[in-house]
This record gives sequence, structure tokens and C-alpha cells, in this order.
Amino acid sequence: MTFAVTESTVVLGIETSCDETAVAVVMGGTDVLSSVVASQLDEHARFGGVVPEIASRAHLEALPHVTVQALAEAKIDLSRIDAVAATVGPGLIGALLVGVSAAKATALALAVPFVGVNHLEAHLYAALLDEPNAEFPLLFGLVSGGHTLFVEMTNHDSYRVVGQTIDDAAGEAFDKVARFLGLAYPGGLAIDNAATRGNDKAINFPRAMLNDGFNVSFSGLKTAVINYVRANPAVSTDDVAASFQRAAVDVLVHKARRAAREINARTIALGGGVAANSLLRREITTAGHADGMAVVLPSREMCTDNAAMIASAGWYCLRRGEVSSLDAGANPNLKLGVAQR
Amino acid sequence: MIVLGIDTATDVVSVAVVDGDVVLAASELRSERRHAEDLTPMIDFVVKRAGLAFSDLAAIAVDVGPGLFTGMRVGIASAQALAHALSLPLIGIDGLAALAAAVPTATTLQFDIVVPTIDARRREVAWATHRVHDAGATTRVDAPQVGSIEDLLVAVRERGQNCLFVGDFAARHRDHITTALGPQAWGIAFGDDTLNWPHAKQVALLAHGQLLRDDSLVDEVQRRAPSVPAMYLREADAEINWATRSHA
Ligand SMILES: [Zn+2]
Repeated sequence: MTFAVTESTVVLGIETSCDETAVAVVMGGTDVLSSVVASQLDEHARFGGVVPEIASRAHLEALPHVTVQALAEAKIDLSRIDAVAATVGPGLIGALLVGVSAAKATALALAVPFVGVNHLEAHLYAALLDEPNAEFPLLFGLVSGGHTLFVEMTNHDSYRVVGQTIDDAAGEAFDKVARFLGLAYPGGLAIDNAATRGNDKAINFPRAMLNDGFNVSFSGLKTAVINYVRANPAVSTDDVAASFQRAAVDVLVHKARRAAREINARTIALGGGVAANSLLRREITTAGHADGMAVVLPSREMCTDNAAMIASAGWYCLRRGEVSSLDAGANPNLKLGVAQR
Repeated sequence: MIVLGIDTATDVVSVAVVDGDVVLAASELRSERRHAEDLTPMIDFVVKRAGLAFSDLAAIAVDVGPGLFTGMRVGIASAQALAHALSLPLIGIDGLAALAAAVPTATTLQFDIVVPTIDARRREVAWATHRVHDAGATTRVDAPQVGSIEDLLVAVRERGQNCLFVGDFAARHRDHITTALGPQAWGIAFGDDTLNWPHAKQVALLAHGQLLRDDSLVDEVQRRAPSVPAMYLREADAEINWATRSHA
């Protein structure tokens, strides 16, 4: 199928891979006409994590209303939609299938293309929404509750993973430490807030620098925090949060910087929930600029899961001629740089 | 009035278009766990092969369960999206009612009740009771519920009426049910393989009947966010699975 993609091509994006039901309308890849996110946070909070069956049920219930709201906020009718994009992976299989099924049915009914989007790739396009002309080579750091990846991008469709976590994802470490400290769920924001009140030099937590390559590790840091607090029960929670955050950010910035130098990056971009962390944003900006690289950070709403990034990534897929078949399914373990279609 | 029916609540995926009580086209496939992959192309195929365009449809109907949770969600999510995109009414159909409706009149007339069953996994069964009228049609007398095979047997014994079991659960446990009920004054029988799964034909036909009886459905669903609740009959499993946890 040939499909002309232009600056006025309007893509409806659907994201249901985890615990956010999101629909967005994006024109020309970067013009976000609407981005609606219905969070299921409250439904999972009492379990301290995402419960797959609860997530799938909530997606099915919320999706029609979120879709209507996204169209209303974009002030357009469904007839103006030129293509439908949905996350096909990675994520929770039952949750993904709700969005994929709705997207394919919508595309079929409107007689427009359907395009399956890689959620990881979409996080990158969240960073590029405000900076579509960012220069390559680009070092993309995806730091979230499920992923910690450093990716070399030499062009829009060329990805190479240069480093990743060998154990916990960065956001997972934030969540687990926050839970241990008795802070609110989700942990990222709670740690960020507590850290502003604490002394980040109070405790010298280990930085697992893993000198070979660009991999990172957070499991030792998490254990060190737990052991320290058990040994020093009177310690200030704010100081622990601040010192933990400082150690985690030091590791991420150090590794991102080394990887960026290695690939001669002109740009460093971040994505994922941890990219909303204020210390990380400050430190990566300072480091990148010191090395003469542009630093591209998504707005905080675009760091966490949303559908604008799905619609945007879908637009770039379509522009390079990728249209998915209506018999597409979902792939819970989809990797970056592996063709899905 | 042309109705598109969708059924993905069991291992068998099916799609049908009916015009009144005439089935124009239907397709079915034993899909195992490929509901999402199979359904969308099947909708496309059935509508086209019936010589129709989407603009010819008057309503969308979908089996809302009971059955496979992920399967039924694929059907409901697709039906909701179709109804929205096409500005059509959306009607959710009880899958056990669709099963009961598939029994031919000549057969139902030999029984007092029809008991549709669907395997609910974890060694449980979802079932309902439908009473047979003089004309052979059936109406639901006991709402869908989920329970053990013993729960089902107790319910059937209490009624003590000539009973036709249909659906995959009854077919699979035919010997157990027959032995457990033993010889009694009333008779039991089992449907054949064609009555093991609900089918989109009955889903569409039942929806058509509802539309005829209540044309306010057509106006009502023009409220622009067509949605129907899934019939799970069971609370969500709240075991946290960190291994499959994605990220925020
Ligand atoms: Zn994400």
C-alpha cells in the first residue's frame, strides 16, 4: 500500500501497554493536537505494582471515553484521521491487545492504514516532539520502570543498543527504594520530592560503574540502601532519598556520557519515566553541554507513557513506508530495532 | 436491518452479518490464542464477501462473555471501536444466551430447559438456565454464574426437568455429568459439536431481535462513546507478577 505522508497527515495514537490508557491526535509527526492519558494508578496502588488483569480490564473500560475525549480536545472528527497507530509491544500482552484490537478495527472502519508501533521507539519520539530536527548521531537513553537502555541512533530507522541494565531497571530501583522507605507509589516522584529536602552527601552509596562497556547495574545500590537503613534506623528518610538519587543519577549520567562520546553523538536524548527526575535532567544537561552536545528532554508529561509519542512514532513509520497488516498481533517482548511488521 | 456480529469469547473466533433473520455471511475459525490476529481480517472478509460496505450496517453486536478474558476483550475492544468509527449502536450479547439460541427449535421442543455451559478454566464452569417455550424459543431463567461442576449439578437436580446441556464444558465432562446425575425421572442429553461454542450468527441474530423490540437502543448509542461491559463473572486476579511488569 502506498500512502502519502505529509505535514498535514493526522495520526490517531493508542497506548495501552501498561497502566495508562492513552489516546492522542498528532499532525505531521510533531504537532500534538491532543494527548489524553487516563491513569490507572489508584487501581494498582494498593498492590504496589501493576496487576495485569486489572490493567486489561481498566483499558477496555476507559478506551472509548478516552478516544472521544482526545478527538474532542483536538477538535476534529474521526473522518479527518489519516492513519491509526497503536503500541504493539513491549508490554503486558492482555493490555496491549485491547489497544491493538481497537486500533485495527478503527483503521478498518475508516479505510485508513494501521501501523503498529514499538513502545521503546515511541519514547524516543517523545523526546523529538519538541526537537524534530535534532542532529544524528544521537545517543538515546531510555530510563523507565521497565527499561534502561542506551541506544545509538544514526538515523530515524537505525537503532543499536550500546548498553543496558544487567539487573533492575532504573525506575524499578526508584520504586523499590521508595517502597522500602515507605514513600508513596509510584516511587520516582516521591523520591524526587523527598530528595529536595535531604542532603545528597549524607550517605556515600556505591556507584556500580561496571568499567567495561556501557551497561549499568542498580541491584547493588538498592541493596546498599536497604542495608544502610536497617543498620541506621534513625537516619533521615530525606537524606537517604537524596543520597540514593544522587548515586543513581551519577551512574546514569556517567554511562550516558561515555556512550555518547563513544558514538560521537551530536545529541543526547532521554525518555521514560525516570527522565522526569529533576536531578537527572539538570545533570545530563550540564554533562552534555560540557561535551558540546545538544541535550533533548521531553516535557515531564511526555516522559511517562502517553499516546502522542505513539502517534508521532507512527507518523515516522508511515513516512518510511511501514504499514502494518490487519492480522498484526502484539508482542510483549518486542525489542528495539527488530522489525515487527 | 443489517447487523454485524462478533464472537471471540472462546477458542473459536467468528464473525457474521445478518439481515433480519437471514445470515448473509459468516466465518469461523478455531483460533486458540490468536484472536486479535484473526478477528480484524475476518471482519473485513465477511463484510466484503457479503457484498456489503460498512455504511450498510445498522448495528454492531458482540459476545461480552463469559469465556476467555483476553479473548472477549479483543472482541469488545474491536466492536467498541467499529461502533464508534461508524456511528452505530453497539449491543452486548450474553455468550451463554447465544449458545442456547443456537439449538434448533425441533431439538429444544424435546426439553424443558437448555443449560449452556462454557469452560471457565481453573476447573470451573460458567452456566445459565434457559426455559423452553411452547414454540421452541428459550428465555433465560437463571442468570449466568460461575462455579464448580458440583454447583452446576446441584442446580440441575433442583430443577428436575428434562435438560439439554450444550457448550464445551458439558461436552468435555459429559461422562462425569451423566454418572453424577444417575438415572432419574427426567432426562438429560448433550448437544453435538456444533453447539460447543457460541457463534457470531446467534450474537447478531439476538442483537437484531433486541433492536426490533427496543428501537431506543439506536438513539441511545448515538451518545458517541459506544461501550459495553465485559461479563467476567470473576474478580480480577490480583497476584502481582513483577516478572511481567512493564514500566511507567
Ligand atoms: Zn513506557
